[in-house]
Amino acid sequence: MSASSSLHDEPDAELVRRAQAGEREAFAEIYRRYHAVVYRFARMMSGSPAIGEDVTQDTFTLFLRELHRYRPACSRISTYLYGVARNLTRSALRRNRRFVGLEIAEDQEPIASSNPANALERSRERSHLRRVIAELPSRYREVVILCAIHGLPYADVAAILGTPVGTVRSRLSRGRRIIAKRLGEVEGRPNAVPRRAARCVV
Amino acid sequence: MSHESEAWIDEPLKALAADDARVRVPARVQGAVLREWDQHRALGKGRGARTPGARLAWIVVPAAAAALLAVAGLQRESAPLAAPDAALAPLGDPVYVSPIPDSLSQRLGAATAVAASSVEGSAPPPAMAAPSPGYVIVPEPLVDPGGLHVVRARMSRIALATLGVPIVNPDLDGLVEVEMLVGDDGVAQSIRHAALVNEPWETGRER
Repeated sequence: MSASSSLHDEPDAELVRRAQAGEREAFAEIYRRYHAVVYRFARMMSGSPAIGEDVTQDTFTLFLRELHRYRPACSRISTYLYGVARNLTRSALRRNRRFVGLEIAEDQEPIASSNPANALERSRERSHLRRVIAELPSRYREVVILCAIHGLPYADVAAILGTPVGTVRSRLSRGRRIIAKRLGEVEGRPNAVPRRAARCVV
Repeated sequence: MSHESEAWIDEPLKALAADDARVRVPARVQGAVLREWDQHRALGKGRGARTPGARLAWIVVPAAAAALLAVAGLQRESAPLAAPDAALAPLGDPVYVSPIPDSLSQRLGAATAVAASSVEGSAPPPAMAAPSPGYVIVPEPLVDPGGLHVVRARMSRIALATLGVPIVNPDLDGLVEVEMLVGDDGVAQSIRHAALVNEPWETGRER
C-alpha cells in the first residue's frame, strides 16, 4: 500500500522506467491512471461495454508485452494507449460487425432526483445522443469522442490518430454538424431513429 | 471550434461527457491485466531492453551458423563422388519396427485398397502392396498421431467464455455452437467458437 501511495505522484516516465525494471506496482499504477479513459473510449466507440472491457484488457496486455520497447520520449503513455485502443476497437468492430448495434451502452445509474420526470427525460436524451454518436462514421466518431467527450486538445488527438491538426478540426466540425442535424431532425420525436440504424460503421 | 448554428449541442455533449466520466471499469479487467503481467514475468519475458551484449549475440550467432553451413557445403562439394553402389549401401541409422495400432492398421488397409482401385491395371507400390500384418517399416519410431475427432456441441456463452474463448458479451443469454477436438481417450484437446445458435436446442439442425 505504501509503495502504491509513493508511486501516486511519480511522473509517467518514471513509472515506465520502474515497470520496465520489473516493478509490478509501477505497472499497476499506470493501469490505474489510464484504464478508465481507455475503457470509456472503447465503450463509446463500439457502443458495447463488453468490447470496451476486451479492448481495455488487450490494450494493457499489449502494452506490458511491448514495454521494453516503449520510449516515453517518443510519445506520451496516454497517446500510445489511446492509439492502441483505437486500433483494437476498430478490429473488434470489424470482427463482430453483425453484433454491433444490438447493445448500445445505456445509462446504468438509477435515476435519483427530486424531479424524476425531468431526470428520465435527460437520461433519454443522453441515450439518444449516444446512439447518434454511435451512428457516425468512425473517422468522425473518434474525433467527437476524443475532443468533445474526453476533452483532449487537438494536438493530442492529431497525435493519437496520426493526422494533421487541420484534419482533426475539419472532422470535428463535420461530426458536430451531423450530430446537430440528427438531433434537430428528431426533436420532439425521441424514437425517430430506429434502433437497427444504430449500427457502427467502421 | 463550433459554428453558431451547432453551438446548442455543446450542452448535451457536456452532459454526456459528465455522465461518461462516471462510468467505472469492472474490477475483473484489472485482475486479468495483472494476472497477465504475472504470467509474463514468470515466463521471463520483458526484462527490459536488450543489452548491447544481447544485441551482439543476435548478430554473431546467426553469422556463425551461416559460416558453418557454408564451410560444410564447400567440404561436401570438394569430396570425391562416391561409387553408385555406395548410394545403395545400408544406412547406418537403425530402422525401427513399430507395431501398428489396430485403428491405424484398419485405416492403412483401407488406404491400400483405395490406392489399388484408383490405379487400375497397375500394381500398387510394394510398400503398400504387402505390408506385413500388423507391422510397418518406417525410418523412425512410429508416433501415432492419435485419433482426434471433431465434435460439435452447444453451450452457453458464459461457459464458453470461462474456457478462455473470446466471445462478445458472454453475459448474454443463448447458446453458441462450438467445435471440440476430442482424443480417443475422450478428453477434449481444444475448442473453438463455431457459430451462434439462433434456434432453440430442441429444433436445432441435425449435427
